[in-house]
Amino acid sequence: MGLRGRIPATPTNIGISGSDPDGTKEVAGVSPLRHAYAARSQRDRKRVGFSEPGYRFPRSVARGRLHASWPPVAELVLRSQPGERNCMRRLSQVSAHSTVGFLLLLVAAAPARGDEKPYFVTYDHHMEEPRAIEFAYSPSIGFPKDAGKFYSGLFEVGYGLKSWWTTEVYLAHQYTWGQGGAFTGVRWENRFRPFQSEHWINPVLYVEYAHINEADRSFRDVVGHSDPEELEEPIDELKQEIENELELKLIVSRDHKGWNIAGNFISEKNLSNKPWEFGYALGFDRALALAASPNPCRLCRENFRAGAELYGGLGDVYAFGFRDTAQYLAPVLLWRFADSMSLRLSPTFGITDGSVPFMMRFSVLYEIGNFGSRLRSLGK
Amino acid sequence: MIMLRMPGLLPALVLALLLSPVSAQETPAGGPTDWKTPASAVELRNPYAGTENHGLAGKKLYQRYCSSCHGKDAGGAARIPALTSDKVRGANEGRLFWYVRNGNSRAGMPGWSRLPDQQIWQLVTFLQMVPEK
Repeated sequence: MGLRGRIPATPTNIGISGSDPDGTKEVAGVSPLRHAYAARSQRDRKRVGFSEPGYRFPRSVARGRLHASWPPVAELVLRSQPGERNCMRRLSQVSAHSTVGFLLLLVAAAPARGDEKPYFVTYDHHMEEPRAIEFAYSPSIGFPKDAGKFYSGLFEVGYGLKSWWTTEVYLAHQYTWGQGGAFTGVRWENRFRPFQSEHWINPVLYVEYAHINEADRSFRDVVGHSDPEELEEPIDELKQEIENELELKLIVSRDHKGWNIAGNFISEKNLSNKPWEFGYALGFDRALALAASPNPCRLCRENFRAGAELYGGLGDVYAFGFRDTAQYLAPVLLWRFADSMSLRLSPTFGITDGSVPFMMRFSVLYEIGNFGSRLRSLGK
Repeated sequence: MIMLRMPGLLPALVLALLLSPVSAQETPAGGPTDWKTPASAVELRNPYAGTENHGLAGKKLYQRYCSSCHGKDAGGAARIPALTSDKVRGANEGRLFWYVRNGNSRAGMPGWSRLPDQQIWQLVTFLQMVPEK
């Protein structure tokens, strides 16, 4: 998530701006900058057609249920008549149920195993095995200093196209207490490993396209400068600010005597004429036992990996460095509680003024090995 | 906004990603005799050689990490080599260790360096104890 300098607005000062659409008059108790921003928001709402007096979002949309399903569907529902709305909702439910049913069928039919990555932000050089598919859901709960706490969820599907090429798709949503929820966007990442065998240090190249809105709180990485006041802005405003981003990473990583040490340099470009922003992530972890026990077990040490991550922004092309950035330190723990599934846990601490002071992050991962061949054999 | 204006684009992308494995098969692995391992690999020694407990641990690891491709009984599949042949059972343990750890991306064999060396040696121990078929 890139935190950029923008003027915060609250529902209160947006209401004030309604009586002064030009934003030129100074309103008591509201700074001119906030006032101007509120006026701009009002114009934006007019542009997208939600400015009619007394307009109310459908309750289900306000609570984020439909936004979490699919953005075009949600948009259609917003613009449709009540009768059509029920029909669309039913369609969306049927499609969600069939998707879940299909996934459950695959899960039941295929041997699977949980993954080994304990990190939430840092990438190491290990790719998805060829033809293996991985599903993960990663919820986080954040406790900002001066804003409402938020819940963010990230659904991930990753696939090993080749042993040197992994591709993943992410769908994200968030819910802010007292404000409601929103679908926050989609990301498509690709990782390429140029050298085939293990070296002293192993590089991986990462390319991602993200179509997200400003309400995104998935914290998949942190870049640029921080703006803590961004978290105070109402979610209804933020979700209307759509961003298309290109993100590049250089990943270097090494395994040594059971340890993994990894470092990422991150550069991100908002494609709408914004400067390149930078960030980094460092991580290390180790299995709690190096040799496996001969007996099946869930709680034995070999099933745990523990370590820590440090990540944060590095400014942008105009002001590179740690000044006014968000930085996070996070212990990480992975528990493979079944051959098929892993659980990750990370209490995350913001260590600068621009950071969210505390976040609790979780992740459940499920991987199906050789999925591609199984899919192909189903077709025969 | 591109995705919002073209509602079919995103599902199409996801579907293409899911179906791409059908055509994205790796070159079949040539089998253990084709390994190109450094000469120094031959000198590596298995600290667990012939130890039944470590062989059992290796079997557990095999079921967890390898069986989805090489089969539950290590018998292989259409394009994936069996590990029950004499070529594997009789292979130099150091070369076997090196190959499992580093893999061969051209042949579709992933490297398993994420596993501690001890667990890779347990896998090697198991592979050298697998009954021949």
